[in-house]
Amino acid sequence: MGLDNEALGWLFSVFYWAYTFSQFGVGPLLDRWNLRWAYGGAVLAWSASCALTGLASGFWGLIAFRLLLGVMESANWPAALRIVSRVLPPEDRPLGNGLFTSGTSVGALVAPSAILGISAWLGWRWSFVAVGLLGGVWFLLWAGGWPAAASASRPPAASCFSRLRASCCSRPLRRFSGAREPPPQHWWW
Amino acid sequence: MNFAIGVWISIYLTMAQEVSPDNISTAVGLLGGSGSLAGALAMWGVGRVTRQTGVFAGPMISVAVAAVPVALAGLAVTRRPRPPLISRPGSPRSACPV
Repeated sequence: MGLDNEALGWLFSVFYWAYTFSQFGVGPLLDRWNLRWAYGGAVLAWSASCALTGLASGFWGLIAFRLLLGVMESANWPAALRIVSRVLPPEDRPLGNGLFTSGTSVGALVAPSAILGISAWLGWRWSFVAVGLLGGVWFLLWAGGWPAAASASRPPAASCFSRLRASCCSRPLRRFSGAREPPPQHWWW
Repeated sequence: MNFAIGVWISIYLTMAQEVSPDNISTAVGLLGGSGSLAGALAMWGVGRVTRQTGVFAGPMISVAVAAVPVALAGLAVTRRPRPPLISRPGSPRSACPV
């Protein structure tokens, strides 16, 4: 498209500022709306704006789609952390949050090579479309596989995740250190 | 440093879930937005300081020192009150004042 450094600076910063300021407003909405459809809708909307970026015909089109992308992506962390807190009991949340974060890191490792490959093969516009389509596939899986625990008003007391964590981490560590089984639910410090 | 950041982010996200259990998305959004704004200002400030001094020592030490009050603040906002002791009739350790 022949953009200079100033135009690229505007494109990067408009996403950043839209993402930053939208975070202040999106949290209260997510706390009130149905989380299944609010989060799924946000992912679908930012995937659509990503795919539409491939159709942009000029600088202002790119600005508009980047702005929309920043606004919609701001729902990611506020919604995801609420889902983790509703699906997992308190003692499992650090591991659940760690797995969620490591997923974003793995994605950031894999995505550049995949996007560069698609760009080299089909052109840069199709790399945006491909990422957007991936989000659409994710939405279908999300809408069909919503966990029942996430709809509960209270967090679950225990899960298979708890047993996995206990067998893999807690019990071997306690055996190694000679510590006794802790009483349940240490809420205070 | 990346290992420490990995440990920190898991603890930070769990803390953010504990700040307001009934309004988790609001708390995470406010924390995230404030963090992004502070990050933007900090990047600008670090650029100015390093251009004037020519070294990164000041910003690095500032970050290390700032971690201590931030950790204490995190502990303070996520602190929960100790639940009352189970009171049994006739028990000398009963928490019941009557």
